[in-house]
Amino acid sequence: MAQGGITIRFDPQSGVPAIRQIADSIRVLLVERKLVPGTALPSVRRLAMELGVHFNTVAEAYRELAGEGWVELQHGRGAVIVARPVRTTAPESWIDEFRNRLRSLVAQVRSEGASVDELAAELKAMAKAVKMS
Amino acid sequence: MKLNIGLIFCVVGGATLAIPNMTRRGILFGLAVPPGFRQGTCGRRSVAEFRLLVGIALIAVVSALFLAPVALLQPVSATGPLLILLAGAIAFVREHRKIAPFAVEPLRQREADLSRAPEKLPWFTWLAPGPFAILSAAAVFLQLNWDRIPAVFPVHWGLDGQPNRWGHRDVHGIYGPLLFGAELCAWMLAMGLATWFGARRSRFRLVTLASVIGLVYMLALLFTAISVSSFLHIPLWLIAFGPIIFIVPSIVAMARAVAEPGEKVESTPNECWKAGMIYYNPNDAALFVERRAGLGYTFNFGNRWSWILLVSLGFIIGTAPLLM
Repeated sequence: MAQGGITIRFDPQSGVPAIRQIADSIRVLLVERKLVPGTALPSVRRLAMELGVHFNTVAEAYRELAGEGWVELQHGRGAVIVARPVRTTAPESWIDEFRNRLRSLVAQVRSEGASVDELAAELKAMAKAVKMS
Repeated sequence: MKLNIGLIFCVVGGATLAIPNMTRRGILFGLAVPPGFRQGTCGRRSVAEFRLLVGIALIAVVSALFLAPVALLQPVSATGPLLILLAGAIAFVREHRKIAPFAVEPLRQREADLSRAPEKLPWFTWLAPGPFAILSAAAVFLQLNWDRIPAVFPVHWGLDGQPNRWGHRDVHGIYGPLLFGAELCAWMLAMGLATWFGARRSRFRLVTLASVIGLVYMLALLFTAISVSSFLHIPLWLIAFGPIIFIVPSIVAMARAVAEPGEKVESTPNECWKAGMIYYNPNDAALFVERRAGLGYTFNFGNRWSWILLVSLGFIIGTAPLLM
């Protein structure tokens, strides 16, 4: 079961589309195993209301996660997390895409005033967490 | 008589004067303001100007009431509270525009807890059938005492306390008010439940639902009193002022809930508020949002259900002349 206090955040001023933010936030929780198979996600209506977005936005984010195999959309039960078969081989292009996205993210936060030391420390901590997971 | 009407004017005026205080601490005249702004020179001046205009209107209508000849008493009494409310609305919009340059956006980042169990209605929702039981009991009581009901009885009283409209002992005359009361109770209850399911989670929502259920009881008792007053002597003052017993605690409970230091301003974009009073945001799934002017919740007019609820109220009010 999911542990208490598993929250996602949505910032309408971030410039990132709402669907992207919601799907990405839930995916992070799934990858970090904070949300485990069998857990029911909040209904589309309730999550949309809490985040102050349109129903379709949350429904689309759930559909995206369902398309990736993370959740199953069940009539009457909403979205339920399912056990996802682990991919042993990633697509060849993942490293390039990963680098590009990380670079652009680093550039964005640096332009917003984050220091190089802070960034390096954060990346190091993340790398450590990934190794341990 | 003038004293009684003057008292009603003062109650309306007092409630209007209190509007700037009946919001969350971070809100003033419908705008999110920086911490400490309300206590600052600009904030205090703005509240004082609002109160000055409302105060002038209140003094004007009370003076008009006491100076008006008897022939003009009816129109003065009817328009007095409306003029006070109109002055309040004008003053509100005026101050809203004045402090707009100082407004800040409430924290836009929103959080949702994915691990929380689906919501259950609070225990006191089970009290909701009570008002309908009261109205049904009144109907049975009237049926059992049918012969004691006079053939003609007063149903409306003028400002002088004398009856000016009469009802007849028939199904329409006796059960009409009860049926209308049941309609209103059902609508109010539907609004309370819609607030529970259609607003974001907060402690204030709980207080609002409790207040709505209390008010539904008030309505049921009021219409029961009106119905049985056809043959039981119920003092007019009790029917006129009895609702205050329910309304005042509701207002106090809601005012205390919004004044709690830990309670945050609901994150609704400033640009979606028209004059700080009307919320229109089709991209927000919420049907109800916390009011920025006064206590309670207001419709998100960007949600089509808000219009359906309003039309249903119009329909219920439209049945009043048929039932009463």
